[in-house]
Amino acid sequence: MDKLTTPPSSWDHTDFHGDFLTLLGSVGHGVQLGETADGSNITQIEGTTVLAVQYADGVLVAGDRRATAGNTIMYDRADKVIDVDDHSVMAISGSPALAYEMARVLDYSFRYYRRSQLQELSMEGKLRTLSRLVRDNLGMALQGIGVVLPLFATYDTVEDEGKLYFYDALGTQFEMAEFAVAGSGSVWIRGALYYQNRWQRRLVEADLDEAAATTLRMLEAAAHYDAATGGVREQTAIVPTLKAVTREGVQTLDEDYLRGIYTDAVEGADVR
Amino acid sequence: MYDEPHRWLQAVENRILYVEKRLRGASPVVGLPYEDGAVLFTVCPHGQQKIYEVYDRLALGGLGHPADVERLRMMAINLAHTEGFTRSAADVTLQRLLNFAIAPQVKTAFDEVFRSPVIAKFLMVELDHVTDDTRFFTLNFDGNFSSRDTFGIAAGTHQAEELMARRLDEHPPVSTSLADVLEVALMAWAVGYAVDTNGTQYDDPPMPSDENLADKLREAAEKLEFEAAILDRSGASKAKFRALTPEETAPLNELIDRLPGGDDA
Repeated sequence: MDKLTTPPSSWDHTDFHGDFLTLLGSVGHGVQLGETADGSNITQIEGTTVLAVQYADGVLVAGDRRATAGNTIMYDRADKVIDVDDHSVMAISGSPALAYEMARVLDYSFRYYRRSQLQELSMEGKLRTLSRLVRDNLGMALQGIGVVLPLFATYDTVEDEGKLYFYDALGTQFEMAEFAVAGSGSVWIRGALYYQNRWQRRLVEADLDEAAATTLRMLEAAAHYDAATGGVREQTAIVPTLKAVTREGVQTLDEDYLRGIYTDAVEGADVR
Repeated sequence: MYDEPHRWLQAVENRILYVEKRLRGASPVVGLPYEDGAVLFTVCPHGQQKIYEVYDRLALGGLGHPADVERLRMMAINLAHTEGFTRSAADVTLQRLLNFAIAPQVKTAFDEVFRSPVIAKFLMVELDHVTDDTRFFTLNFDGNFSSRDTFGIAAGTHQAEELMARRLDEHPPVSTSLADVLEVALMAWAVGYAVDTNGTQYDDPPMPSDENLADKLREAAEKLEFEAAILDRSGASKAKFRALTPEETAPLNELIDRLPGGDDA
């Protein structure tokens, strides 16, 4: 059996103050998101469309499943919407390797804080933790090796409402009132979402079915123009990932449910 | 002074007596399986906490000096999270944490006669990653630990633990429902509490009578509060720990009222 990874000062817990990154550093396993080695010859895996919309019960977060390197499709079943805790998800765009690591660090940071400090990390504390991770990655981002631009959706149980945030590469967070988009395909749908929200039906008034239909339509639109975005691929039974963040927690929408919505509201609504 | 073996042995025996004396009268912790996982139960003063979440499927109850309980609690949490992050959650097991890290450190602290020993005992519980079965471990102040599947006990003295174990063997829960299991946990706790606060040391300790248990429980109910937590395998979240609310443990007061000499007896 392998030995445990033992913190050098196991008896001295006061060093960490609930900070998981400091704990990891103490065992020589710090997260190297800020590496600045020359990565100019590295072929990155990237490409994405993720979006999140406020709807009647909270926030609906959606992501396509495609990961690309240059003009090559590397993988068509990537999950880009990741549970971070019982009431939060992160949607990733950019380098999956770093983004998945960020999501894992966040997940552990929140749980470690709760267990060690005997209280939940505040929502502001959670946002700052992600901000710090994104900023620590700036070296990679500047070299073009591994930029990560996450969307973060959470349900604020104190204010009893869904919250939605967008981050830039410097780690600045922006709270988005009604929708947020990220990734290479986002440029094609930002305007469409604005149009829908401004002159069609307001997103926050939509129920889950309507919100799911809207996000699936947006993902198909993005996939139509952006080769790095995978839409709904019926021949391979690949559907996007959709997660609803509500008062009750995070719910991953069932694939059969999504196929039904797609058939009725995306394909079935085709009046071209 | 301790270079002669018999002097060192005497020093160790003195430590045992010292720690046992400090632990006598501590509120015991009881662990039992129930239909959806495992429950840890104790009774403690208002505002104090003895039962803690350690990791997704691990929890512990500690008794003894609060500073020592806190050090070991944090050690367990730190180890579990670094191991879970660097390998995987499935690699975080109590057997490994205790075997390779926690028990050796407690043993070292116990053996170093010039340092303060760990004045604490622990009951730890886990839900198995593969089978979902419950497993209880008891860690002693000298680094010794043992495990069993049917129940777990940590009390201030050996005689309290013996009698609590006998009580649980002779009066198992009538069903695996949480309510029935909590009632059995309360009565087992009362046995340990009654024995340890008696002050008399017996070679063959007698089981406290039902009347004695009832008196002790009513005495405790006036100044202490129930504390209970579950590892609930039925929950969707990967973190299975949940502290029970006062409303969920309130029916135990009705049990106390039904005991001999109670309002509803």
